[in-house]
Amino acid sequence: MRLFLALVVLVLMVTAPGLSAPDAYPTRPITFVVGFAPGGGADVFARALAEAARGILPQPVVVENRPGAGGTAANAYVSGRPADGYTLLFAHAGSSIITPIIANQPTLKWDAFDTIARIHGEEEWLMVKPDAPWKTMEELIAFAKANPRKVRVAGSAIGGIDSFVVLAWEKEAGIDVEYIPHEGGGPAVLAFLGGNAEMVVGNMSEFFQHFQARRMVPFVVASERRSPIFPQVVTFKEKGYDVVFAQWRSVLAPSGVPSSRIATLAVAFNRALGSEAWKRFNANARAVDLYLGPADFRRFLVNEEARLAKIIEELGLRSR
Amino acid sequence: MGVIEQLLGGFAHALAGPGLLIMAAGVAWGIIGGAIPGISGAVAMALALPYTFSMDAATALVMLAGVWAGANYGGSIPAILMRMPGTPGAAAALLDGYELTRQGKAAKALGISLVCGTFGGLVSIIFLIALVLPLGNLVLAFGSPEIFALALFGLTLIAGLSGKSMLKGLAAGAFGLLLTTVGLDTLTGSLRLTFGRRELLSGVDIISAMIGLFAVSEMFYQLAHPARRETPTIVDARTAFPTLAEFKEVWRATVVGTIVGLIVGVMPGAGATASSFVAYNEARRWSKRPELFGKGSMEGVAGPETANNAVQGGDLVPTLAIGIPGSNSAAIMLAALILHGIVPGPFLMSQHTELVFTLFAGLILVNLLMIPVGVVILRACLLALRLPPPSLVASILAIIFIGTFAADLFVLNPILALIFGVIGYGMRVTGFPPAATVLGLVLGFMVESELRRSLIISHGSWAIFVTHPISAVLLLATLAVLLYPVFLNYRRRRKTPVSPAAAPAGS
Repeated sequence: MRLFLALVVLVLMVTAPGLSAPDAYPTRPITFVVGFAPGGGADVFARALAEAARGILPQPVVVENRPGAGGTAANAYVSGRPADGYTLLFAHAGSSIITPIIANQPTLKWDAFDTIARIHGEEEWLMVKPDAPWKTMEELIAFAKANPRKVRVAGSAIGGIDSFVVLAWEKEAGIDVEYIPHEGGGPAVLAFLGGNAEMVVGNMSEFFQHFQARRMVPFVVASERRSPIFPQVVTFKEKGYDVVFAQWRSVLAPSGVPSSRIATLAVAFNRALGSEAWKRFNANARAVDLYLGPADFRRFLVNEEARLAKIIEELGLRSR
Repeated sequence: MGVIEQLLGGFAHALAGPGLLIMAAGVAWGIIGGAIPGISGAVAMALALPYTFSMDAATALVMLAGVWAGANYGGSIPAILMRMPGTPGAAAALLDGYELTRQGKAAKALGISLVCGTFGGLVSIIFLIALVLPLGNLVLAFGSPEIFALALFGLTLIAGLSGKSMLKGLAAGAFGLLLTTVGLDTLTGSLRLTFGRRELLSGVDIISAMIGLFAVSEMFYQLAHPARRETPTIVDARTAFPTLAEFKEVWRATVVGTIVGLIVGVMPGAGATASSFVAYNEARRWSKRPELFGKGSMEGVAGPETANNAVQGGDLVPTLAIGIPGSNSAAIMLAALILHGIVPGPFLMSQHTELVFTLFAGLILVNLLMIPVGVVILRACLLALRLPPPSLVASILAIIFIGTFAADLFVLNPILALIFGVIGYGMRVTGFPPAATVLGLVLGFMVESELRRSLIISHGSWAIFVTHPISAVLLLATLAVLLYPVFLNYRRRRKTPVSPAAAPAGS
């Protein structure tokens, strides 16, 4: 009798998970892994998205920071997690395309993962001190040409989109500036404010408060068109330099997540973008919604990778 | 409204409703989380973060502050009892803390750690309240050259950790520095020494290495040397609270630890771990009985333990004044603010004065709560020492492997702990100090990345380290610390009368 009972319990234990699928997802908290330290742009985005998804998904999304390796330490970690939809990966161009190509790590590139959704994007800005000696792009270029490596630009690690803006600009304008890589946007801003750099590159979410405090002003934006935030500020494009980058942010998952779960997540994140909390966050961050569902996002990434890989090749960044 | 009135308002706000209970819960979780290897202060805070969503912003901040303060202390419990740092910041305290445990003074060591840590925490909060606005901009004076100089100063501690042979100490320190070069280099984006292992992309896991070198090697040592295995005399938890005479014994170390913690805390990027090692060394330098260090000195516990708690106030200076976190733990506080719709930045103090002062009051309260909550948990932990040695060793090894695995869920990490256990055992048998290797591990990343970044900033000129005044002062101090023993030696030799027989050979 006792043996029989034990067998029944065993059979139930083995089959129970199968009985409850697929509707019972998620039944436990979902981990959203971010490859950057807490407090930076990526981390803040992830936490805001997690908060916006609260109430839309029946379980909380919990942010976990695994900084390092230009964001790809998190890729490596997530790729080894089960593809059950309970571990998601923060992804942007730097961590999911550029660094994996540069480091020759195809297993860490976006196509080794399942695409869930592209969420939003921020423009890439170059900021200067309010008393900077150059008022126009022409003056700055003339100065940089006469004084190679004298202009120092603080930004995040090499392989992030920040470094790309500067490297592409150098190539397009035929100038030579000194790029100072940091472990994240926060330390880069500190270095700039502390007088160890003439410019800082990154997103307005990290800059706006310091702009309001009159410690930095926008100089140029790396967008197709002028930004609605500062319409008086020029773009690289209109000055004749093909430097167009945006810091889009998105969600990936380990390869092989059941499609019903991918759909559940994509729908939930799309709905989260309509929440009041998210709208307020996006306005505070000076960012725009760029939602793309799983299939559209995959198509976008194919094109984005082709474009970025070409630049990486031209800049000679690929190692080995 | 003056600062005092605002602070009183903050107390009223922090204590409203279940405030005290929430703070106590935060402190208790912090201590327990900190005591589990693999759960650092920042991780314990991140785990508590979801529970703060339903609270108002001030309560959330105050609870997280409690977790933070608690974890600073919690990490020292296994460090002192089992030679196993629960958080990297507790690594310096185990050098003397574990020796005290072996002498049957575990309760006393934990009590000193608790009381002195609380003192350091409280002073740093008062310092924060009084100086956050004027000091906010001072943070900007600490750039790459200054942080490099501090890290270099920290490396002089190798001399103090070396024991008999300076050469072996330097070799062990260099081994630690070498280990930090593993991983993806953020300054060039290239891979170094990862041997194709993804787990090594972000470097050798520091807590696995620390636990291996200290705790696992101790287990091996006890297995090989039965004399070391003897049970320490029964510890009476009631003796934990230090007496007045004992306070007098450690007050110098406590003051030194507080000052070190404050300075290192304000420096962005240099955290509790670096401060505790620097404080350990400074506590010895200023001690009346430096010969006791490494053999069970109360001051050797008080110094680092005060410092790693005093870092809290300093860490919050850049966080509150500029909106850029001073550490991972401070960053979780900022994340809580952002999630409550408050944008941190230079205007936080002026736009959310009431919130900031509630946080100040809460920080004072949680540091006071540390004592009662800490004493309760301390008593429970002391019971572990009553286990028979074989069960104790088995339990410690189980905690080690689960803790190092749980931190990253990499199977490589417990294996690393084991490998470093073997290395640590070998080092101890051959007279190489494992503590010097840990110091190299703690400071290596800072030394290398800040050095290279400084040279980019200066366009390749080494003069940057002397033209920046703070860096120049720190480098001078480093030089003084290195040359002082040489000078002492020289003077001693001059003073000793030269014996006729030795004279020809000596001159």
